[in-house]
Amino acid sequence: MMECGRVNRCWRQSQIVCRWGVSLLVVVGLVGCGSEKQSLYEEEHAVPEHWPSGLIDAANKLDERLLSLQATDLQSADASESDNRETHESQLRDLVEWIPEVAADTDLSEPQWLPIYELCELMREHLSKGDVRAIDIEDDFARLQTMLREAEQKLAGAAATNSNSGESL
Amino acid sequence: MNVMIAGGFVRFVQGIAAAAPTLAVGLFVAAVLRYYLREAGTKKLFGGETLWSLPQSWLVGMLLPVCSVGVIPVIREMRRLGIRPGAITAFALSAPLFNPLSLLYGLTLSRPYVILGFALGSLFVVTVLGLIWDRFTSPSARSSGPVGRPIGIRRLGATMVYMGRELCGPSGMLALVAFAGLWLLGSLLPHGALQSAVEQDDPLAPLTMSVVAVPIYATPMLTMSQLGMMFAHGNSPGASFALLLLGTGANLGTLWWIGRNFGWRSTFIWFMVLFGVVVGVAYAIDKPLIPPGVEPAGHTHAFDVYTNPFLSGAAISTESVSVAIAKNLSIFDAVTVGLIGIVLVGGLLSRTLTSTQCDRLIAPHPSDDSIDGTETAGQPMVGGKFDRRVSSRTVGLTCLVGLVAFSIVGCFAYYPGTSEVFEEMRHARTEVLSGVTSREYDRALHWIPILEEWSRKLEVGFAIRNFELRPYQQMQAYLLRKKLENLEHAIEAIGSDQELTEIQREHLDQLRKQILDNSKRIADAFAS
Repeated sequence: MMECGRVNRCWRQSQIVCRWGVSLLVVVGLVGCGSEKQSLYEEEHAVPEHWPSGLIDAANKLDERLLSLQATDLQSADASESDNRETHESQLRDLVEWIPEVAADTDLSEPQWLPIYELCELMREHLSKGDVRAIDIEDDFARLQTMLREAEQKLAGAAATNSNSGESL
Repeated sequence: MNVMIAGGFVRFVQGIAAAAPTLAVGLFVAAVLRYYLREAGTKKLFGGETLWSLPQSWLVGMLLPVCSVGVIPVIREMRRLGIRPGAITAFALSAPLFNPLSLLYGLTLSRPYVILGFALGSLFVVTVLGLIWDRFTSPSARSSGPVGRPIGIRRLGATMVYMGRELCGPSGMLALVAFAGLWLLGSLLPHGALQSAVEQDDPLAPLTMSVVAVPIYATPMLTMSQLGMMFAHGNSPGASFALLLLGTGANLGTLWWIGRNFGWRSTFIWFMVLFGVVVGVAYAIDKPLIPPGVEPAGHTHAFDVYTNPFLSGAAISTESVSVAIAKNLSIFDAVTVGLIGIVLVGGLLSRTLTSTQCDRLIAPHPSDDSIDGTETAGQPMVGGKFDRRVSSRTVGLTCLVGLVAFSIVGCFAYYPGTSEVFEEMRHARTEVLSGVTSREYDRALHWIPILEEWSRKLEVGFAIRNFELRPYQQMQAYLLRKKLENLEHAIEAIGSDQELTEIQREHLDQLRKQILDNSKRIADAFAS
């Protein structure tokens, strides 16, 4: 009798294990039906259209979007205008997130880079929380644009000095 | 040879090599619990019957450098010593997630709060599960006969015999069950099948990863590097969390053990609760934890290690299999596999040729410690005033604290100082760039992940020595990895004839220049 109970228990246990195993196999098999890939280079790492090519480009891109936002009627119920506004808001958020990276990829020194980074972090925090709109912090954007243009001038000056010293050598 | 079998076999062997160091640590910890801390000390270590037992087990698990295979001998011993089932599962799930090495590594991956958030999320999961588990299961241990209480040299011998027998017995078998999960995935998933399965905007990403993660066995360091790749590629943070909890925290071996010990039905319910909580938390954090400023790359290579290493049409030979295995093996792996091999042979001998002597060594003996050794602690023994009798608990705790201290020292060895890392980075960078110039692309592809790895070690090494890591330093290291990633993909896009188009040549030249420019900035950033 006891033997029979043990066999039944074993049978039930092995049934549960088998059910688990089969479910797992089916799910993994379904995932495994995904196609084989060697490289996705063509479809990946696409650079977004509004990715700035440099510091001046970043300042100009901020300018364009801010001007466009200012020109938009905030009260307008027009769907396309509202979409435009959303797009520009989101692109400004992107630019604020990307500018520290773009600036770090130049020959700016750490002390020159840090104020740009700190201002962008501050703006990013507010924009991502959603407690302000881009248009509400226009002064910060203006300050950022000035910083970017000044940084570009410093870079150009340093490059000119380097090329002059190279020529004199 | 069949591609599916060969691919699964490669992943199986790679799993064994990856688990060797932490499995050795797990065996050692289990032996310390058995012969040093014993029942009273172990219960105290894991919080006994108090409310603290779950968070305490979580904390002990976080400090010990074990993986989900390394916890197997430890949880077996915990069960034998009558630890609460909730505490056992809390330890089993949390111990493999983080250790000092991987936590430090993890802090460089994304914003630190993400990794700390993951750690706290895991505490929440193990606490909820532990409370449920304690209600439905009994803490009664399975009887396995009396255990001797040897002291002195005999205790060291018993420890060795125990480690060998565990490896050559139940723990070893459960480890093989865990590695079988890798074999299964390696066989069933075609090469690169998971590359675009966990995208940020894919609502199914956390669920897909939760399902795939169940048979996965991953070491904490591997998972950390995978999380890093996922964050760098802008993949789903919820999927990362699911990978961490289910892939690193559990494996088929631990699930099998829990089922055998607590009943399959209870285990099924427990696992479904675990799965549900993990999926719920994964979806809850998926959007809030998206790292700012990272453009989704549309793919990740992080999970290529779980798919078949061979392309479906590839010709499989013994040589190609051994090359695929050796590709991911470091000297360190080879040494630890050798050590585990020695323990295994020792265990085999202790179960066969020398079984009588070994049985006598571990069996209870009249000269054994009477109760727990505490009452005789401090009594001088023959041999001088420094040769004192110390309680088992003191020795055991010293072993465990020593292990944690050793892993902290290990952090400094694993993450060397700036000058040493610069030297290694210079070497790796030269290999990458000269590989590109001389069109030896395989060489460049081999060195790219090595250079990436050194850039992370540079960050951690600097942080633990200077107690700071400035945003500029983080940004420069990130930029290097991003450029290396772009270079890797640019190389992969080159056709098999290795002929470059004009655009490809320009792109490669541009990337080479960018990497060189970045090297100067990194040197300036970390030198100051």
